[in-house]
Amino acid sequence: MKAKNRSYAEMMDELTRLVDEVGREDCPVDGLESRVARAAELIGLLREKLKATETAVKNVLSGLDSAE
Amino acid sequence: MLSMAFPEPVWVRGVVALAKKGSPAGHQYFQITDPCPEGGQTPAAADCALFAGERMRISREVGRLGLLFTIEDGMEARFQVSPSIYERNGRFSYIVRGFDPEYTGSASAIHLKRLVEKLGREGILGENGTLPFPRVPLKVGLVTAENSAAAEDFLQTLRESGYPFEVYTSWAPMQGVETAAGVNAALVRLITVAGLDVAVITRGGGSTTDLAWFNDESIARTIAQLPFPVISGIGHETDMTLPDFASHTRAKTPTHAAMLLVDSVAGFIDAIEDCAVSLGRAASPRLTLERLKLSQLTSTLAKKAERPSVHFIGIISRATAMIQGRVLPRVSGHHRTLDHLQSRILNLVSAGLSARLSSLDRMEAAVSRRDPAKMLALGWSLALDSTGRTISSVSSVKPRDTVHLKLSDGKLKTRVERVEST
Repeated sequence: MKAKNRSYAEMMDELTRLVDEVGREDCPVDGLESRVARAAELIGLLREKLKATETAVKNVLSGLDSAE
Repeated sequence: MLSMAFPEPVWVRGVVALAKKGSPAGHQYFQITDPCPEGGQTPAAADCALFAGERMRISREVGRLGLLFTIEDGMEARFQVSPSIYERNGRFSYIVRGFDPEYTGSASAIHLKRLVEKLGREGILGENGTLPFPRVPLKVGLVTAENSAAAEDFLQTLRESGYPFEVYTSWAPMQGVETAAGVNAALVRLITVAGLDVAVITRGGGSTTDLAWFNDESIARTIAQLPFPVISGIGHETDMTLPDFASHTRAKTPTHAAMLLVDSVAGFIDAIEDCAVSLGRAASPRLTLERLKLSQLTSTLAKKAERPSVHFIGIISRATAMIQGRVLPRVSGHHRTLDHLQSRILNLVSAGLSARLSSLDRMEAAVSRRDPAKMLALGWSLALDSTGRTISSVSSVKPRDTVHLKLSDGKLKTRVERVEST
């Protein structure tokens, strides 16, 4: 599933699950690398979403100021 | 004997009878009769012969006077004649040598009378008189001779009136053989003047023969067909011409024709002024009463309006004060609230984002700690069998097996020499 089509919450759920799995002592080493890689990818996407949201909010609020 | 008795032509007078049209040779024959036979007797009559040569000469002489020479029944005339006996039949006759145009004026009157009777029977003469005469005839068509005294008299009278007459001149000869055709054309030209109120045909006084040029039935027929009334003012008061009978109104002179128009306008204005005065008189008591009522109402209204106006001014002042004291601060308060909320939103969003970022950082750290690459970097290695599966127990291998060791910077292919359990 493409990251653009997924909500922040969905991606966050996946990341949380991955973190839980990776943190468990019984996490098989075989899947550890791929889970870490996926977790790192999700973290990057979520950071981008947060940054875009912050920029959008600031633009909206600055638009209110200039309208006055 | 006759020629001996009348060596010179003599003058005879009488009434023309049995006038025949001119012969192919140009001669004309008629009788001259006694105008006043006594006791009802048959009037004495004498044959007259007007030969072509004399006829042309007389026509020229009369024409120089601006008159038309014609011989018609009923015409009272005075001829210069030579008595003669026609040898073939022995009959007595007069050979016409001359003609007295002045005397024939009365003949013109008879001619006019006959025309009036004839055209009257046809209904031509009363036609123009049936048109309504405008109450304010300010747009006037003038048919007269250019630069004539009649034109000047007429126009001067209109000018002196001070009323705003508009005069459309349509010049025409007022004497001579071209009179009828010229007057007819001038009248017809006036039809093109839009909204013309009235036309005036006028000329000054003259001899009966001068005025006789107007006794042409074509002029009467033209007048009968005009869409506007015609005033005829030709000659003096005692002169009568055919247009006088055919027109709507007859004026005695050119000046009189103008005065008829001036009087009509003046009459209308007087009537209007009379109406205004009458209306004023009739309305005055009522107006006075209404003015009094209006004055009282105004006074009452002013008194009643005084209190409410003070009252309303007080309300408006209080409302203004309230707006200034309460509403405006509240509006300002709302502004501040909104600003605060806006800042808060920004802060919350920033805080929320920061928290999420922190959470992501922690998760990243947690993930990073479990990253096999980090462990390998610390010196740990990962043992894999030939299929790439992790070897987590010594029981999974035996001596001489090939074991792959994954290090941080590459792989080692090793062989098991001995297996020892801990």
